[in-house]
Amino acid sequence: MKTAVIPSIVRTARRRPALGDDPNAYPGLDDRALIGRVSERDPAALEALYGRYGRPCFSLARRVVRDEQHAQDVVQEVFLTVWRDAGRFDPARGSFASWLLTMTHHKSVDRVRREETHRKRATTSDLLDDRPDPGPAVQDEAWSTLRRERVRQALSTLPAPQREALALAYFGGYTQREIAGLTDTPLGTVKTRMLAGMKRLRTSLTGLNDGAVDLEGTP
Amino acid sequence: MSVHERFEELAVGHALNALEPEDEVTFLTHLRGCAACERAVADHRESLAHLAYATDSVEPPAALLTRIRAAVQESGTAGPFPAPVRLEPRRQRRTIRMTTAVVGVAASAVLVMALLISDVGLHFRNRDLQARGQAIQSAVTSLLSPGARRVELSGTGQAVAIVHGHQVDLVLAGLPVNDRNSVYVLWQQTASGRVTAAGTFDMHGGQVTVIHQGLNIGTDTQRLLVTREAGRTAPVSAAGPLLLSGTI
Repeated sequence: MKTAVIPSIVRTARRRPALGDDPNAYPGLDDRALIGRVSERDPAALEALYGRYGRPCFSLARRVVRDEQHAQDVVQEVFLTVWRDAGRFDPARGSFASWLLTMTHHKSVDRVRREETHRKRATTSDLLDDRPDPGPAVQDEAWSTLRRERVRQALSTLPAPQREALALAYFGGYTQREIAGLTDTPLGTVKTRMLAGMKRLRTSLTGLNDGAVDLEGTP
Repeated sequence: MSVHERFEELAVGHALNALEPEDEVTFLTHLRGCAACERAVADHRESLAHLAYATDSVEPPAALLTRIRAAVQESGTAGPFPAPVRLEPRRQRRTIRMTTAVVGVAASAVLVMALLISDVGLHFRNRDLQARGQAIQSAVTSLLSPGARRVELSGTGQAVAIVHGHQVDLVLAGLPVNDRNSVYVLWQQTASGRVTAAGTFDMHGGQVTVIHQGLNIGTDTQRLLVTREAGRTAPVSAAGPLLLSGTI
């Protein structure tokens, strides 16, 4: 079972006091319990989930669509989908964080593909930019910073062509054929690089979670 | 390269939402019965979720939560909503917020409806025109009704699916008219990757084709896809090229 890569994310996400999150609301409930309450039309449970994941969802959407307003639209759409279709989450198929962030990513990519103007601004160097965050909020959040640096470190261990292919697809929303064109590489090579990169990344990230003591579902 | 390796590569592209349409159809068709690929996709998604945390962490604006609360209230699940007999101010505001693409298609549908009606002087020339006029009218009413969910389908041409309950209305433009030996198929994909036919339809001549009946999906449908298939019925699995797709 390789789904243990997410728990540390879940754990650290819970530590963050977040917008709209009442720290006294459902302190003992894990994500699965919360999404269960959402399916029973409990808006406070939805807000608790937003408190845990609103920031990473917004950060991801903003990175992909590269537009503040579009990012807000995406996140609103994501949480509205959670509200309407909470029953679609299947814990047997992965963590809630994975489900939510996959949805955020897909909706962001769908939007950026419709918004070619924004997409053209996303150059390869932009997507691979790994400068440390200057924001004061980040400085105050040691956990968040540590996690981000560890993921970036895992990315940095990938061979440059693999990292580039994954970054262009994940952060740029480019298809494999588009990446082949952008990097002047045969399509088959792009596919091979992506697979190799994902395998390496998974190994690296699994290693990062060796010290995790908190599994999803345990608040 | 072995078949297994090929699908391993496609699983990564699928998880990244980076496959070309033809590869997407190939993989989704394969995914239906392959537990190994289902697991691979799930694993890739778990890993990719980590990448979200590699981005610069940005606090969402306070107004976003307010917007989400309002959207939840407006979603129709927070209380009873009025029947869609006529437009009320709140519904009009929602219409204004629709994306340009949707507005364009909806406006086209309304325009075609208006043209049809004006062209025949409120008396439809024949049953076909009458049926199309009614379909357009029903689709536009559905689009504007509370609880209706719009799904933009992109690819070849342009389409908007209007999902209300199990029923799907399609407003399409840009797909070629199909002959008597082929049919368009709307496929529904569940979260587990299972793809089944939701119904078939034909493209007629004219700017916009509206499909108002015969397309039904399950509550767990996550994605809609359109292909054109040989014959007049939906095959067991998609064989034609993927023309349109959209996430619900």
